[in-house]
Amino acid sequence: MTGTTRSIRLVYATLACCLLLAAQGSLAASVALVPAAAQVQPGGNLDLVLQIDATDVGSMTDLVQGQLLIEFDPALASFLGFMPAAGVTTGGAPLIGTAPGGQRSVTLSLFNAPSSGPMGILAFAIDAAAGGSIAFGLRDADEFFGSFVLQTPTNQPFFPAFSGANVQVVPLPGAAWLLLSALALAGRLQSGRRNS
Amino acid sequence: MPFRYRFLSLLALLWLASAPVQAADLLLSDRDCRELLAQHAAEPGSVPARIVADCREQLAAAQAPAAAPAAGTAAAPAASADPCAGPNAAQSVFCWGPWAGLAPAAAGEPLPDNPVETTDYEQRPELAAEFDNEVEPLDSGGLPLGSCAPGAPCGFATVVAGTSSSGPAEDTRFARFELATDGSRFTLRPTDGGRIDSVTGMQTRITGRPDQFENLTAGGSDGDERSRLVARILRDPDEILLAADIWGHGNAATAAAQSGYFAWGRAVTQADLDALNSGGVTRSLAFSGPMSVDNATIASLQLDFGPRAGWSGSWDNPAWSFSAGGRISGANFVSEPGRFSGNVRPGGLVQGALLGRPASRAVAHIIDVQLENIGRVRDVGLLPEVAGPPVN
Repeated sequence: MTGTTRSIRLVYATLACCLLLAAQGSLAASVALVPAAAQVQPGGNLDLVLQIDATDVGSMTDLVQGQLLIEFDPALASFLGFMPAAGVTTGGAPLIGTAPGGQRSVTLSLFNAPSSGPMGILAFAIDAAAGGSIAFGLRDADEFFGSFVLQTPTNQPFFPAFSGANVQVVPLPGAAWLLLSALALAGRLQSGRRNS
Repeated sequence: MPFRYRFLSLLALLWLASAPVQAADLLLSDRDCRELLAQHAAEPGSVPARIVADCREQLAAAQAPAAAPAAGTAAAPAASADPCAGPNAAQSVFCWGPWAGLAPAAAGEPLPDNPVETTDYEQRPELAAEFDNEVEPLDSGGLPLGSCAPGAPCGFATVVAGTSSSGPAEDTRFARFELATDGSRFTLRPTDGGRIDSVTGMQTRITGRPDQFENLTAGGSDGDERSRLVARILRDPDEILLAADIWGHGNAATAAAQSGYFAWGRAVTQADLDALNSGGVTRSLAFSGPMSVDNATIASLQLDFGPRAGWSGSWDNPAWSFSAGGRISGANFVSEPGRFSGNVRPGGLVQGALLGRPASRAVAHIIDVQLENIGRVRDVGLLPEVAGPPVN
């Protein structure tokens, strides 16, 4: 074997290892906040879908439980409520508190959630002005032990990766302003005719 | 003056110079006295007059007992045996001396000839439960993890370092496990020593499951101490009868933690055991279910009671399987070396106990085997009863 061949094989082996590691990373269980819309308008509402994928640690039919902590700036958004997905049970109402740094925190306890798919939807009112963005953090409520457990067939802990969401707050589009202006004008004209 | 006499004179002067000591208190042997008197005879000023006088008295007294041997034939042996009986007892380091008049010696009062048994101890029944751990000593009755008494709480657990609950089998230890029947605290006693106590008063939450169990989630903290349980449970009606799966305990400040899996319940009562063993017929109970550490392993056990008491079982994992059998002792069962399948290396162990009530029986058990071409397997499992073979 020549030195060149050996070097090429070494490069391929290294590349294969990197790909394997990358593939393993992509297979890790995950819990994510997925915005229903990438952009929101001031004064509008935002739905964040709580999405889980734990199929690498369990089967599609396994059930999951866990406690989540969602954090956001209370000056930019307000928590409206949580709607669990079908079959998912909650351990009582969401706990709303204040996290270090003045962040608003919402703690959810979820049981019998699917190992893949939506666990529920979080609803927020947008209080931010146009032009900014709102960051929604997501993490395990028990960062010491980790609260996520595959419930079936026996309880087994697993440690998903968590990813929050970042939502852009944009002004109402120009067409919408024109439409609103036209509607207002039309309404005024109509009202003037009735009066005359 | 010879050197010896000078030395004796110097010694005598030093004794005299020591403040509270009187010449009368000096302890000179008869031989010393004779030599001092000889020295005094040779040089009259070389020995103090008081010492000369004392020595003369001492030598005269030493000759007196020899002149009256019949005076104390009974006391003489006692005086020779007891060094504190002589006239110089007050100067002996072996005697209590003049202090006897102030306080008795440390030996205390002499014992009575007929000691009387005292039964009037202070009773503290309120502390009895604290020290009654209901776990018998290890190796009792050939059960390496100790035995479970009929009707008493009984559990087994794996222990690993960290919070992940599982780790390499070689680093996994076994422990006896105890759980409060409301799920608010637990205790582990690892077989290699030590004790792990959860925080008390853990908050519990019970939710439904799609199988015959409910799910108990318990957690609590005490300062930096953290404890938690996530367990399948069976209740009747509020008291936990059977429980299995995850435990954890640690310190959030130091990040030191231990965790693992467990299987726990109340052992069948002696009345249940008597019923199972009665009538001269063999009654078989079958149990099956997933293990806790690796729930891909399905265990199936059959326990036979009556004239042909014994048990057998198999553990099937996608990567391996083995079987074992052994004897039953009360509510306990343990493997016998000759009844493992051929792929189990010597030294394997299966131990468990029959738990629950007639309507909701289960077995808690541990497996510790070294499998050919696989390696060590350590696990714990709670297996509910399934429809078994008919009574023979």
